[in-house]
Amino acid sequence: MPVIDVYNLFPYVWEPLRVLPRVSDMVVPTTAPRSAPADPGVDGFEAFYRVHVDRVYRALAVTLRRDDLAHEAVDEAMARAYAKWDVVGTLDNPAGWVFRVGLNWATSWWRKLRRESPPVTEADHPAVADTSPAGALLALAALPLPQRAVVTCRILLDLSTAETAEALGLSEGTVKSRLSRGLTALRAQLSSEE
Amino acid sequence: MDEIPRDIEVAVRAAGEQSKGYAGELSTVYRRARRRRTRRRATAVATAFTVLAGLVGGGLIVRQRTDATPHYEPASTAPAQRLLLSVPARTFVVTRADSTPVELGGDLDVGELSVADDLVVHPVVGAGVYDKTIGLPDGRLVSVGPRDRRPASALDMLLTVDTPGGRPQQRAITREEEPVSLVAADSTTAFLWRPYGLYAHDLAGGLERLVIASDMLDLPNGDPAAALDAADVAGDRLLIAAKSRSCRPLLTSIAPPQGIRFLPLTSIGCKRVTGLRMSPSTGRVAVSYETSAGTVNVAVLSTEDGMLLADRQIVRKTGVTVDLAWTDERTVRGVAAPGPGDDLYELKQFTIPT
Repeated sequence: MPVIDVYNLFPYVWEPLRVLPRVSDMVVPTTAPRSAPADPGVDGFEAFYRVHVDRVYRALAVTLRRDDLAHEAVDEAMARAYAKWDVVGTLDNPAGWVFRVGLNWATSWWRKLRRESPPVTEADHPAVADTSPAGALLALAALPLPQRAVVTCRILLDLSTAETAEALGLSEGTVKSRLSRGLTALRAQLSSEE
Repeated sequence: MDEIPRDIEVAVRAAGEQSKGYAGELSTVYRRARRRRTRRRATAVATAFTVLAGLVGGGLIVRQRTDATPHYEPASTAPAQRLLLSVPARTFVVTRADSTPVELGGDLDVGELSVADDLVVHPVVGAGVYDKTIGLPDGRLVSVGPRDRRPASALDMLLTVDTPGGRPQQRAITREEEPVSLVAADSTTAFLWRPYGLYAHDLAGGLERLVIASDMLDLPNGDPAAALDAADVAGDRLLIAAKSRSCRPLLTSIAPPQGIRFLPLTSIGCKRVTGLRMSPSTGRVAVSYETSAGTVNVAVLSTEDGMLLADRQIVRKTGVTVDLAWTDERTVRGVAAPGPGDDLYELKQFTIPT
């Protein structure tokens, strides 16, 4: 009878439940596996879409904190990527391009609608004071949108500092400073919840 | 700082996994890209045509000024939109053309006012009540209302399609006792507000698809229709007047959600919008609104630039519903509906050409 390693099946769900060593000082580079290889039987855009759409959607959902807006944003950005695939497909990081286009589209929509940035407190992601996923969402929600975008690019899209800078149209220094502030705020928020 | 502490990375990844996941399809993206390409081409063609027409028109103006004014003839055929009456239950109405009072509203007949001022009545199918009825140009009526008159049935809503000379079709559209209301309808689709957003309901088969989520419009998820003073759908455009900013109706494309434009009415003394109706091509919108001076007016605006094309006082009191319908692309007609206290009410149709 084969043995199923549930930790490998659901690594992010199960990870917090493990008996973790003291990791507060431990750091890891963001070198998580990028994605599954593209299926050679489908065209370039379709393969890209299949591999990346869910990841970009989740990154946008965390950044925007509105699932419907994230869904429309990723659809719009993917449609634009498809229309310009001869250019977008040659980029080093098409997923970052899609994330940026989706983020800009959603931010523009929301600003026109509310004439302000997305609100800080949302009912979409209810607050729970712990380090559970909901607690992390609350901590992320407390970050300003630019910091949240950098954090999600670095962690959820597995982009390096340089790639994040290119994707968001920022300098590497700005990415580093926003990441630093974002991580400090997240650390404080998660520690206070613990 | 360029490296990310593992515990924070784990927490953020777990937060990402909290989302329900992407539920879209590649075909939607392709369709969206096609529409985007079509829209851009149409815009390019229209721009080129405008420039060309400007150049040619400019030349003609110089040569012969009288030919520069576009000649326009109103349509002589059936009106583009039908004028159905919003009448409180059991109200007697009379028109100038016909002096015989007719009792309308509630579970009784639905009234329709023709361009010639004739009152046409349509019976309500079954024992129910029509909350809202929309008349299609092909003669069909699309209505939504509770199944019967008992208060307990208010959550059991039916969508009725009444075809002249044919059997009416009725379909239960209530889901899990959620509120539902009719916004607009065309030959194939009824647009319904449900808690999650605006849905396109296929009249033939009853299939529904989400057009735009309530969240996207900053409307409450419980009952978005209750947060609106008025709404209309025509073509691929949605126009809403939210209670929170009633005098700044919001216009957006819904196929797919694209572009937001406000049509402010505050400069003409608007206090609250009570009704909206877009012209068939969606180029203009007729807005009924209450003024701070205590009157009900109807204004016509261009949806392209929000320019005010007409503004007319209709009634010298507030709390009056005005039903509106476009006769053609430039002419809107309407009638002030009777209030709850009006036992016998004379319908006075008005027309606003623009």
